[in-house]
Amino acid sequence: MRNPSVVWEGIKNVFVGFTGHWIIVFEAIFLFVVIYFVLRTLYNNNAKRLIPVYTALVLLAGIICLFMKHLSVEVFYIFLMLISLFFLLLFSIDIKRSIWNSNKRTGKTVSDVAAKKNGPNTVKADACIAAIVRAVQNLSKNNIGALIVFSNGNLPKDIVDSGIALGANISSQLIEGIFIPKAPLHDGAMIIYGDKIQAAGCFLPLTQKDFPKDYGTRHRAGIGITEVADVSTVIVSEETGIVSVVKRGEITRYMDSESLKRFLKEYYWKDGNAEGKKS
Amino acid sequence: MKFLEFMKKVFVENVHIKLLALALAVVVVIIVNAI
Repeated sequence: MRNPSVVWEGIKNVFVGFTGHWIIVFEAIFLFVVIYFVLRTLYNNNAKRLIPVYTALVLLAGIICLFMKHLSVEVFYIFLMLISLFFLLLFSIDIKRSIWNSNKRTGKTVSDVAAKKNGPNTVKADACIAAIVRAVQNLSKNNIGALIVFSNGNLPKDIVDSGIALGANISSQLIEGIFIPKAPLHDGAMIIYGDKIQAAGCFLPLTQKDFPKDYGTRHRAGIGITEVADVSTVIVSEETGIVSVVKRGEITRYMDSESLKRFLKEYYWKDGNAEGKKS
Repeated sequence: MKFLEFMKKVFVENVHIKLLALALAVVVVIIVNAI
């Protein structure tokens, strides 16, 4: 085994040659990465008008440091990082969501369940849709509250682990049974991933946005999870039996069985072929 | 193929944002070296 001090010396020697132009190149690359990340976050989150503001602030900080002789380079870098951090903090939820969604590629996609229109998977997806619609209708008719999350395999592990793992096949009886009041798992979210009920009784983050007062905790949780992860939720109101669907923080109320079926087809055939969507 | 797709993503996606970031980074480096 090598002596750690020898290894350290070796590492230091690599950087001995990095003077002058090399330092400038590395500085430019580092700044490019930081600035690009901030600009891309602003651009992708409908905050294009903040791009000139950020650019102006960076330039202003530079000009101030340029003319104030007592301000050093370090002060300018601190200014730059604080400005960047401030703009990134405005979109912390969106950044969190994009990080979580990057896990999506590693897992099996929902469209695997319904990959081919005429394959056996289509039959499975159709059966899932029918079972979910039947369960939601029965729950709505009996004014039983329910919260179902349709995951793409991209939910944070701690949310899935907050409930009871099931891994069960989808059936209307099971969905209704879970949400019956006084049942141990009724007060939480059910997570459906593809053709399986992944977990039930899960705790979701609540939205902090201003919604009407009649939206209870269940609605706030159903909206909250769509703000932090690329998932959709179906909510059945306990008071009114109204069925709502939430996508990307946008709630659509008064869903009937047909619109619910359309929503579920979109979920199962989102990444599949166009024929699948039409079926 | 995956590498090609990655390179395409790197060079084609958000080109205007990348150019703006590059321009700003260059200006910042010039300022830093002038201070």
